[in-house]
Amino acid sequence: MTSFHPHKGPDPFWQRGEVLRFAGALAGAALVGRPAPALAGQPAADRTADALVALVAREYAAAAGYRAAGGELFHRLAANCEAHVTALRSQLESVGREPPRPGPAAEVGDGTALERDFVAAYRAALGDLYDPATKRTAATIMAGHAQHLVALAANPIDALGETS
Amino acid sequence: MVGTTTRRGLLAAGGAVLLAGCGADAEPPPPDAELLGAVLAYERALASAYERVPGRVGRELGARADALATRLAAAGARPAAPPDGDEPLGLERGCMAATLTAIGLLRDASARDLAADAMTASAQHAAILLDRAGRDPLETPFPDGRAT
Repeated sequence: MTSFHPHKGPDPFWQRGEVLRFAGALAGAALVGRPAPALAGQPAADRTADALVALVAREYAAAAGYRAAGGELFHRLAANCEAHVTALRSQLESVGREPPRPGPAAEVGDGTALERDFVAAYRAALGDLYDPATKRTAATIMAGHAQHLVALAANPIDALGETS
Repeated sequence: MVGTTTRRGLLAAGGAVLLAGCGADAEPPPPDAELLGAVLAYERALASAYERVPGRVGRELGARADALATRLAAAGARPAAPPDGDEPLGLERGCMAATLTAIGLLRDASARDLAADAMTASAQHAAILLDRAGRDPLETPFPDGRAT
């Protein structure tokens, strides 16, 4: 293939196709307001992707567990977990990673331990996420799981203090 | 010739985006003390607002807001101007918005943990206030109000 860059010789980065793809990707990323795909090969993007994959898998398992356990509240919580999956998948696609497939259902018990673990997992993941928008998405989902604890408690005010 | 024009156009577009991105990155986010300060202003307003809420809800939620304000001040937060309004649910929602802004930009891990505590607290307090008002405490999967 002919080198596109006039001074660099046949450096693979400057192959014509690569340059065109890079420029197009940058422009495309800007148009949709997403992180540039060029970042996907960098460690920060990999950490973000790994953290998001783990969170999606956890949400899938919880949704399946809540649905299997049944009951009106658990179905509400399952629907919320599924909405979280949708939001996280969008973030995951922006860093070029395929989302995981749904796995086995989680053992939900009365839901309290599961939700407490969710809050802790999202809190820990905030340190691995690179993009501010992705951090905010994770943070609002974390807060959603904190609200699940309130909904699960016989007396909502008794749920306070279970997340920190 | 057409191919060259297209290539140049694409390169120019990509370059412009790259430069625009560098410009955006060159604008540093506010310091952590300022980001946490916006949250601190809300926690102080909430502590005050809960003094007017009777019973255990007012006492417990007020104490938690006060404790968060103390931790934020100890972490070096520079309080912003007090927020408008004194209605607890509106203040909790405003606090969540300020906290989310901070979480996206905070540099220090301990500051981010503190903001995460403030976020979960406000979300839970909002759910309790909704429940107490006979409303759905889980009105959305995303407590910041986003659609998805």
